[in-house]
Amino acid sequence: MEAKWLSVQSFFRNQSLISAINALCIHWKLQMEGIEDEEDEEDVKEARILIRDFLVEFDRQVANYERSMFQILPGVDPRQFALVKRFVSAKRRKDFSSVTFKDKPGKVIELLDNENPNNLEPLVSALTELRILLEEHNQADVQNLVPEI
Amino acid sequence: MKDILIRHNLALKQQVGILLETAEGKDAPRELELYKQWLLSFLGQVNTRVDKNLRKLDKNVASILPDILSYTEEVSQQVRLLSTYYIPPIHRSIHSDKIALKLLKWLHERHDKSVSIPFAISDGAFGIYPTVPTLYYLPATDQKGLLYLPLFFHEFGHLLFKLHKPEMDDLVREIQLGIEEFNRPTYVHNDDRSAEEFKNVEAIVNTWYKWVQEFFCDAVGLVIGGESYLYAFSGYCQMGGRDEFHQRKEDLNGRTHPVTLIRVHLLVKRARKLGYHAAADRVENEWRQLQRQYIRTPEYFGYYADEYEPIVEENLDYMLEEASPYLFDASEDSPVHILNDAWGEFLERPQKFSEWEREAIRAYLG
Repeated sequence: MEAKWLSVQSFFRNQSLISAINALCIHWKLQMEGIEDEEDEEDVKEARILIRDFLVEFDRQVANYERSMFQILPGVDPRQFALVKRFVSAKRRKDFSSVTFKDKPGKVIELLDNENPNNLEPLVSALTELRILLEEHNQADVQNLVPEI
Repeated sequence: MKDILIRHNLALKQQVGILLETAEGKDAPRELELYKQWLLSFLGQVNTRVDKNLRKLDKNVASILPDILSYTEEVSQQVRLLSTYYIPPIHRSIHSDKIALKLLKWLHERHDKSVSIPFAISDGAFGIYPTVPTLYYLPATDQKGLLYLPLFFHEFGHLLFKLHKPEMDDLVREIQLGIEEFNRPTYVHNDDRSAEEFKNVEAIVNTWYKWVQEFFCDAVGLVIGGESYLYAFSGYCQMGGRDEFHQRKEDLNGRTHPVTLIRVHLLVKRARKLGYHAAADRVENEWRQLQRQYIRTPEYFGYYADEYEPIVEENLDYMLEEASPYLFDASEDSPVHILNDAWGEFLERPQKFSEWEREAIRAYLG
């Protein structure tokens, strides 16, 4: 069980990422269905920035970890480190089906930067897989903070 | 799926309403005003999210149901967390909270980055949730007294760490790399022994991320609280038994806090640097006496070695420079005086301390 101060920080960090993914996925899916939805415009703008920033950092951390001789990631807090390890082991088990995400998280950034109707489907599937990863990771924090009954 | 989600969102709306009523209905002390405002505003945001979920469900688009499910789970977790952790500080608020709240308000106002962060206190072992808002915990027995309030300065260190996280993480990295270098096996073979050595280095270096933060928070506590922090920390941990002096190797792996004896050692060293010689001598001497009851020579299995000290202390100094905590100044008017006076009285005249403390608290609260 991790220290609660680490869990609570990790919980809020992951929740904002999951929330950003939800906003983007709903926006793109409605767009693909040809439905106008301006209600979340501001949320979508912020979500894109948040996810992009996260992916830049996450990509760097995954690469450093894969290169590390001792399986360490100095200067990265233990919960974030656990997320990196979770991604790497899921990748090794070939758990991901999304072409962009299973290679390296940074590939999703290229799609985000080049958002067009052809990219929406791969973006949705890549972010859906990232969301699964984050939700599984978040579960440990939730259980630490609000134990199961 | 749509029906399930509608039902859960309607239930969440009702729960948020109850939380809003609870928060609005309670008269909170002046020091909790900022926190109460945050709580009401956050509950308002949660309510808006639920309304949006319901409007999205109204669009009848099957492909977005997994996303609304995820949103609904998120709100459910938030409501549970609010109810468990963030409502109680208002709900349980009692008059004696004033002592701790006044000290924390002063503390938050001394630092540019924390001045606008809402905070509250709740019941529990000394601790902090260094988020926005910040929750501080203190045991019921210590809520009405002065002696252990300096431990809040350590907890505040966690918030300073969070507020300066990128710079702090870089400095933690320096320490971790130094320790990794020190422990790196001289020869690497492709055998079980090498694999074991690698695992050991990994465990030690990874454990140190959390340890650095605790050492930093101890240093912050000492800088802000002066001798009162050293005495409070020492007094709080002294009767913790053998565990404060020795841990088994397997228990050290991933441990959230360093062995207390190491923390006392580093604190005493830093206290001397800050000129608190008498307090440092006293605390060191007491811990030596206790240590003799449990162990002859401490063994840390590579999780600590004297050789780590230069890199640890150097980077802790940089971390303090970055976070720039309030430095206790005996000539300045601050609530830290009363905490130092309290320890002075307690150590000199323990029998008369309760009486002295009651008067001191009355004067402090005005």
